[in-house]
Amino acid sequence: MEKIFLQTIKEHQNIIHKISRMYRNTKEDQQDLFQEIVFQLWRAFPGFRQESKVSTWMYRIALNTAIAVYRKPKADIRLSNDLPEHADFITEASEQEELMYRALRQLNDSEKALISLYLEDYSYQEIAEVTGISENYVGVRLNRIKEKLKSILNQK
Amino acid sequence: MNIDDLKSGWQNAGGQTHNEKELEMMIKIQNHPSLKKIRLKLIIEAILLTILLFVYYDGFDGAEKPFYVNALLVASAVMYVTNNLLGFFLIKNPIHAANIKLALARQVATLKKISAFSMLSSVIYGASLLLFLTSEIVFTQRKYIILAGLIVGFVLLFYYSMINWQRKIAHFKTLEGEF
Repeated sequence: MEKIFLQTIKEHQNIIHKISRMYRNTKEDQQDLFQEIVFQLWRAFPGFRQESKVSTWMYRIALNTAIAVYRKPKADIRLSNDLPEHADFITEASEQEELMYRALRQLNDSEKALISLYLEDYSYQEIAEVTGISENYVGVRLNRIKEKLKSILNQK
Repeated sequence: MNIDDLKSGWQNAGGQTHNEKELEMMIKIQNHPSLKKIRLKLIIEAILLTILLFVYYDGFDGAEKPFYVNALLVASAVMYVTNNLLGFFLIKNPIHAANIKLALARQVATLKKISAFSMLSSVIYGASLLLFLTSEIVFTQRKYIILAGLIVGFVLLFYYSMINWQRKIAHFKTLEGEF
Protein backbone atom coordinates (compact mmCIF):
# COMPACT_ATOMS: atom_id res chain seq x y z
CA MET A 1 0.00 0.00 0.00
CA GLU A 2 2.87 2.36 0.88
CA LYS A 3 4.36 1.93 -2.60
CA ILE A 4 1.04 2.80 -4.31
CA PHE A 5 0.60 5.77 -2.00
CA LEU A 6 4.08 7.16 -2.68
CA GLN A 7 3.64 6.79 -6.43
CA THR A 8 0.27 8.54 -6.28
CA ILE A 9 1.67 11.44 -4.27
CA LYS A 10 4.71 11.73 -6.51
CA GLU A 11 2.47 12.04 -9.57
CA HIS A 12 0.17 14.62 -7.98
CA GLN A 13 2.58 16.50 -5.71
CA ASN A 14 1.97 19.73 -7.63
CA ILE A 15 -1.38 20.02 -5.83
CA ILE A 16 0.38 19.98 -2.45
CA HIS A 17 3.03 22.45 -3.59
CA LYS A 18 0.40 24.89 -4.84
CA ILE A 19 -1.68 24.72 -1.66
CA SER A 20 1.41 25.07 0.55
CA ARG A 21 2.58 28.14 -1.35
CA MET A 22 -0.88 29.71 -1.30
CA TYR A 23 -1.53 29.19 2.43
CA ARG A 24 1.93 29.97 3.81
CA ASN A 25 4.22 32.95 3.26
CA THR A 26 7.71 31.73 4.03
CA LYS A 27 9.67 28.93 2.38
CA GLU A 28 10.10 27.15 5.74
CA ASP A 29 6.37 27.30 6.58
CA GLN A 30 5.53 26.09 3.07
CA GLN A 31 7.86 23.11 3.47
CA ASP A 32 6.34 22.29 6.88
CA LEU A 33 2.82 22.44 5.46
CA PHE A 34 3.86 20.28 2.50
CA GLN A 35 5.16 17.65 4.91
CA GLU A 36 2.07 17.91 7.13
CA ILE A 37 -0.22 17.40 4.12
CA VAL A 38 1.74 14.33 2.93
CA PHE A 39 1.53 12.91 6.48
CA GLN A 40 -2.22 13.48 6.67
CA LEU A 41 -2.79 12.05 3.20
CA TRP A 42 -0.95 8.92 4.28
CA ARG A 43 -3.14 8.59 7.39
CA ALA A 44 -6.28 9.11 5.30
CA PHE A 45 -5.19 6.83 2.44
CA PRO A 46 -6.67 3.57 3.82
CA GLY A 47 -10.08 5.28 3.80
CA PHE A 48 -9.81 6.41 0.17
CA ARG A 49 -12.40 4.37 -1.69
CA GLN A 50 -11.61 5.55 -5.25
CA GLU A 51 -15.19 6.88 -5.49
CA SER A 52 -13.80 10.27 -6.43
CA LYS A 53 -10.77 11.26 -8.50
CA VAL A 54 -7.52 10.97 -6.58
CA SER A 55 -6.84 14.68 -7.24
CA THR A 56 -10.23 15.62 -5.71
CA TRP A 57 -9.49 13.50 -2.63
CA MET A 58 -6.04 15.09 -2.35
CA TYR A 59 -7.49 18.61 -2.64
CA ARG A 60 -10.03 17.88 0.10
CA ILE A 61 -7.47 16.53 2.55
CA ALA A 62 -4.83 19.11 1.65
CA LEU A 63 -7.18 22.10 1.97
CA ASN A 64 -8.60 20.70 5.20
CA THR A 65 -5.08 20.31 6.62
CA ALA A 66 -4.01 23.81 5.56
CA ILE A 67 -7.13 25.29 7.18
CA ALA A 68 -7.22 23.06 10.29
CA VAL A 69 -3.93 24.27 11.72
CA TYR A 70 -4.62 27.24 13.97
CA ARG A 71 -2.03 29.97 13.63
CA LYS A 72 -1.96 32.92 15.97
CA PRO A 73 -2.79 36.14 14.10
CA LYS A 74 0.42 37.95 13.21
CA ALA A 75 1.06 41.64 12.70
CA ASP A 76 -0.38 42.84 9.38
CA ILE A 77 2.72 43.18 7.26
CA ARG A 78 1.90 44.58 3.85
CA LEU A 79 4.13 43.09 1.23
CA SER A 80 4.98 45.07 -1.84
CA ASN A 81 3.57 43.61 -5.04
CA ASP A 82 6.85 44.34 -6.79
CA LEU A 83 9.66 41.88 -6.77
CA PRO A 84 13.15 43.18 -5.90
CA GLU A 85 14.86 44.74 -8.91
CA HIS A 86 18.10 42.90 -8.27
CA ALA A 87 16.40 39.52 -8.53
CA ASP A 88 17.72 39.02 -12.06
CA PHE A 89 17.86 35.29 -11.60
CA ILE A 90 14.09 35.08 -11.37
CA THR A 91 12.72 33.99 -14.71
CA GLU A 92 9.68 35.66 -16.19
CA ALA A 93 7.61 32.51 -15.58
CA SER A 94 8.55 32.26 -11.90
CA GLU A 95 8.03 36.02 -11.51
CA GLN A 96 4.47 35.62 -12.84
CA GLU A 97 4.00 32.66 -10.52
CA GLU A 98 5.14 34.64 -7.49
CA LEU A 99 2.81 37.52 -8.42
CA MET A 100 -0.04 35.04 -8.66
CA TYR A 101 0.67 33.62 -5.19
CA ARG A 102 0.99 37.11 -3.71
CA ALA A 103 -2.45 37.98 -5.05
CA LEU A 104 -3.97 34.70 -3.83
CA ARG A 105 -2.43 35.08 -0.36
CA GLN A 106 -4.47 38.26 0.15
CA LEU A 107 -7.67 36.21 0.20
CA ASN A 108 -8.99 34.63 3.39
CA ASP A 109 -8.76 30.87 4.02
CA SER A 110 -12.21 29.93 2.65
CA GLU A 111 -11.73 32.12 -0.45
CA LYS A 112 -8.38 30.45 -1.10
CA ALA A 113 -10.01 27.01 -0.95
CA LEU A 114 -12.77 27.94 -3.40
CA ILE A 115 -10.57 29.76 -5.89
CA SER A 116 -7.93 27.01 -5.96
CA LEU A 117 -10.58 24.48 -7.00
CA TYR A 118 -11.96 26.92 -9.58
CA LEU A 119 -8.49 27.62 -11.00
CA GLU A 120 -7.92 23.86 -11.26
CA ASP A 121 -11.03 23.78 -13.51
CA TYR A 122 -13.31 21.88 -11.18
CA SER A 123 -17.03 22.16 -11.94
CA TYR A 124 -19.36 23.96 -9.51
CA GLN A 125 -20.74 20.55 -8.54
CA GLU A 126 -17.27 19.23 -7.67
CA ILE A 127 -16.41 22.40 -5.75
CA ALA A 128 -19.69 22.06 -3.83
CA GLU A 129 -18.85 18.44 -2.96
CA VAL A 130 -15.37 19.28 -1.67
CA THR A 131 -16.37 22.36 0.31
CA GLY A 132 -19.83 21.35 1.49
CA ILE A 133 -21.72 24.40 0.22
CA SER A 134 -24.48 24.46 -2.40
CA GLU A 135 -23.73 24.83 -6.11
CA ASN A 136 -25.60 28.13 -6.24
CA TYR A 137 -23.60 29.51 -3.36
CA VAL A 138 -20.38 28.35 -5.02
CA GLY A 139 -21.32 30.56 -7.99
CA VAL A 140 -22.10 33.54 -5.77
CA ARG A 141 -18.89 33.15 -3.75
CA LEU A 142 -16.71 32.70 -6.83
CA ASN A 143 -18.09 35.86 -8.46
CA ARG A 144 -17.24 37.84 -5.33
CA ILE A 145 -13.78 36.29 -5.10
CA LYS A 146 -13.06 37.02 -8.78
CA GLU A 147 -14.07 40.66 -8.25
CA LYS A 148 -11.81 40.84 -5.21
CA LEU A 149 -8.94 39.29 -7.14
CA LYS A 150 -9.44 41.73 -10.03
CA SER A 151 -9.14 44.67 -7.67
CA ILE A 152 -6.05 43.13 -6.02
CA LEU A 153 -4.44 42.60 -9.44
CA ASN A 154 -5.39 46.12 -10.58
CA GLN A 155 -3.74 47.67 -7.50
CA LYS A 156 -0.41 46.76 -9.03
CA MET B 1 -2.73 39.60 -15.16
CA ASN B 2 -6.44 38.70 -15.37
CA ILE B 3 -8.47 35.71 -14.11
CA ASP B 4 -7.71 33.63 -17.23
CA ASP B 5 -3.99 34.29 -16.77
CA LEU B 6 -4.38 33.21 -13.15
CA LYS B 7 -6.09 30.01 -14.27
CA SER B 8 -3.35 29.02 -16.70
CA GLY B 9 -0.72 30.20 -14.21
CA TRP B 10 -2.22 27.99 -11.51
CA GLN B 11 -2.51 24.94 -13.73
CA ASN B 12 1.09 25.29 -14.92
CA ALA B 13 2.52 26.20 -11.53
CA GLY B 14 5.12 23.80 -10.31
CA GLY B 15 7.38 23.39 -7.38
CA GLN B 16 10.43 21.56 -6.25
CA THR B 17 9.72 17.89 -6.94
CA HIS B 18 10.32 15.31 -4.25
CA ASN B 19 11.34 11.77 -5.06
CA GLU B 20 9.74 8.72 -3.46
CA LYS B 21 12.50 8.40 -0.86
CA GLU B 22 11.91 11.98 0.35
CA LEU B 23 8.15 11.45 0.39
CA GLU B 24 8.61 8.25 2.35
CA MET B 25 10.53 10.19 5.03
CA MET B 26 7.59 12.58 5.33
CA ILE B 27 5.12 9.91 6.37
CA LYS B 28 7.20 8.89 9.40
CA ILE B 29 6.20 10.53 12.66
CA GLN B 30 9.84 11.08 13.71
CA ASN B 31 10.25 13.43 10.74
CA HIS B 32 7.01 15.33 11.30
CA PRO B 33 7.67 19.08 11.75
CA SER B 34 5.63 19.58 14.94
CA LEU B 35 4.62 16.13 16.19
CA LYS B 36 8.17 15.04 17.02
CA LYS B 37 8.62 18.13 19.25
CA ILE B 38 5.28 17.59 20.97
CA ARG B 39 6.03 13.90 21.50
CA LEU B 40 9.40 14.75 23.07
CA LYS B 41 7.71 17.32 25.34
CA LEU B 42 5.11 14.73 26.37
CA ILE B 43 7.77 12.13 27.19
CA ILE B 44 9.83 14.63 29.24
CA GLU B 45 6.72 15.80 31.14
CA ALA B 46 5.64 12.23 31.84
CA ILE B 47 9.14 11.33 33.13
CA LEU B 48 9.30 14.43 35.36
CA LEU B 49 5.84 13.78 36.73
CA THR B 50 6.70 10.14 37.47
CA ILE B 51 9.87 11.24 39.31
CA LEU B 52 7.79 13.80 41.23
CA LEU B 53 5.29 11.12 42.22
CA PHE B 54 8.13 8.95 43.49
CA VAL B 55 9.83 11.67 45.54
CA TYR B 56 7.02 13.95 46.73
CA TYR B 57 5.90 11.51 49.42
CA ASP B 58 9.22 11.86 51.25
CA GLY B 59 10.41 15.18 49.89
CA PHE B 60 7.20 17.13 50.55
CA ASP B 61 5.98 15.25 53.61
CA GLY B 62 3.31 13.32 51.74
CA ALA B 63 3.14 10.82 54.60
CA GLU B 64 1.92 13.55 56.95
CA LYS B 65 -0.94 14.61 54.65
CA PRO B 66 -4.36 12.94 54.66
CA PHE B 67 -4.83 10.09 52.17
CA TYR B 68 -7.45 11.97 50.11
CA VAL B 69 -5.00 14.86 49.53
CA ASN B 70 -2.35 12.46 48.21
CA ALA B 71 -4.89 10.63 46.06
CA LEU B 72 -6.22 13.87 44.64
CA LEU B 73 -2.73 15.07 43.73
CA VAL B 74 -1.85 11.82 41.92
CA ALA B 75 -5.23 11.71 40.12
CA SER B 76 -4.95 15.32 38.98
CA ALA B 77 -1.40 14.72 37.69
CA VAL B 78 -2.67 11.74 35.67
CA MET B 79 -5.52 13.90 34.38
CA TYR B 80 -3.01 16.56 33.30
CA VAL B 81 -0.97 14.01 31.31
CA THR B 82 -4.16 12.58 29.77
CA ASN B 83 -5.13 16.06 28.63
CA ASN B 84 -1.74 16.52 26.95
CA LEU B 85 -2.10 13.14 25.25
CA LEU B 86 -5.54 14.14 23.93
CA GLY B 87 -4.03 17.27 22.40
CA PHE B 88 -1.28 15.20 20.79
CA PHE B 89 -3.76 12.78 19.22
CA LEU B 90 -5.91 15.64 17.96
CA ILE B 91 -2.93 17.12 16.11
CA LYS B 92 -1.87 13.69 14.88
CA ASN B 93 -5.35 12.87 13.60
CA PRO B 94 -7.06 16.05 12.49
CA ILE B 95 -10.72 15.71 11.67
CA HIS B 96 -11.41 14.78 8.08
CA ALA B 97 -14.97 14.54 6.85
CA ALA B 98 -16.82 14.21 3.56
CA ASN B 99 -16.33 17.93 2.97
CA ILE B 100 -14.49 20.90 4.47
CA LYS B 101 -17.54 22.56 6.05
CA LEU B 102 -18.45 19.36 7.89
CA ALA B 103 -14.85 18.85 9.01
CA LEU B 104 -14.78 22.39 10.43
CA ALA B 105 -18.09 21.87 12.27
CA ARG B 106 -16.71 18.67 13.84
CA GLN B 107 -13.47 20.43 14.70
CA VAL B 108 -15.37 23.18 16.55
CA ALA B 109 -17.36 20.58 18.51
CA THR B 110 -14.18 18.62 19.38
CA LEU B 111 -12.29 21.77 20.38
CA LYS B 112 -15.13 22.75 22.72
CA LYS B 113 -14.97 19.36 24.46
CA ILE B 114 -11.18 19.36 24.68
CA SER B 115 -11.07 22.95 25.94
CA ALA B 116 -13.59 22.10 28.68
CA PHE B 117 -11.53 19.05 29.72
CA SER B 118 -8.31 21.05 29.56
CA MET B 119 -9.68 23.88 31.72
CA LEU B 120 -11.17 21.41 34.18
CA SER B 121 -7.93 19.43 34.48
CA SER B 122 -5.96 22.66 34.99
CA VAL B 123 -8.30 23.79 37.78
CA ILE B 124 -8.23 20.39 39.49
CA TYR B 125 -4.46 20.14 39.15
CA GLY B 126 -3.92 23.65 40.54
CA ALA B 127 -6.42 23.14 43.36
CA SER B 128 -4.94 19.74 44.31
CA LEU B 129 -1.45 21.18 44.40
CA LEU B 130 -2.58 24.07 46.61
CA LEU B 131 -4.52 21.71 48.86
CA PHE B 132 -1.48 19.45 49.18
CA LEU B 133 0.87 22.33 49.97
CA THR B 134 -1.46 23.93 52.52
CA SER B 135 -2.77 20.81 54.19
CA GLU B 136 -1.56 20.13 57.76
CA ILE B 137 0.59 23.26 57.99
CA VAL B 138 0.45 26.13 60.45
CA PHE B 139 -0.17 29.37 58.62
CA THR B 140 1.89 32.47 59.28
CA GLN B 141 1.53 35.86 57.61
CA ARG B 142 4.42 35.03 55.26
CA LYS B 143 2.79 31.75 54.25
CA TYR B 144 -0.51 33.55 53.58
CA ILE B 145 1.30 35.95 51.25
CA ILE B 146 2.96 33.06 49.39
CA LEU B 147 -0.42 31.31 49.11
CA ALA B 148 -2.05 34.48 47.76
CA GLY B 149 0.77 34.80 45.20
CA LEU B 150 0.27 31.19 44.10
CA ILE B 151 -3.50 31.67 43.75
CA VAL B 152 -3.05 34.84 41.69
CA GLY B 153 -0.51 32.99 39.49
CA PHE B 154 -2.90 30.10 38.92
CA VAL B 155 -5.82 32.41 38.15
CA LEU B 156 -3.72 34.34 35.60
CA LEU B 157 -2.56 31.13 33.91
CA PHE B 158 -6.13 29.84 33.84
CA TYR B 159 -7.38 33.12 32.35
CA TYR B 160 -4.65 33.15 29.68
CA SER B 161 -5.43 29.54 28.76
CA MET B 162 -9.18 30.30 28.58
CA ILE B 163 -8.61 33.30 26.27
CA ASN B 164 -6.43 31.14 24.00
CA TRP B 165 -9.08 28.44 23.74
CA GLN B 166 -11.83 30.99 23.08
CA ARG B 167 -9.74 32.62 20.34
CA LYS B 168 -9.06 29.25 18.71
CA ILE B 169 -12.72 28.17 18.78
CA ALA B 170 -13.91 31.56 17.50
CA HIS B 171 -11.43 31.31 14.60
CA PHE B 172 -12.81 27.96 13.43
CA LYS B 173 -16.43 29.03 14.00
CA THR B 174 -15.86 32.05 11.76
CA LEU B 175 -14.19 29.87 9.16
CA GLU B 176 -17.08 27.40 9.24
CA GLY B 177 -19.49 30.31 8.77
CA GLU B 178 -17.58 31.47 5.70
CA PHE B 179 -18.31 28.21 3.89
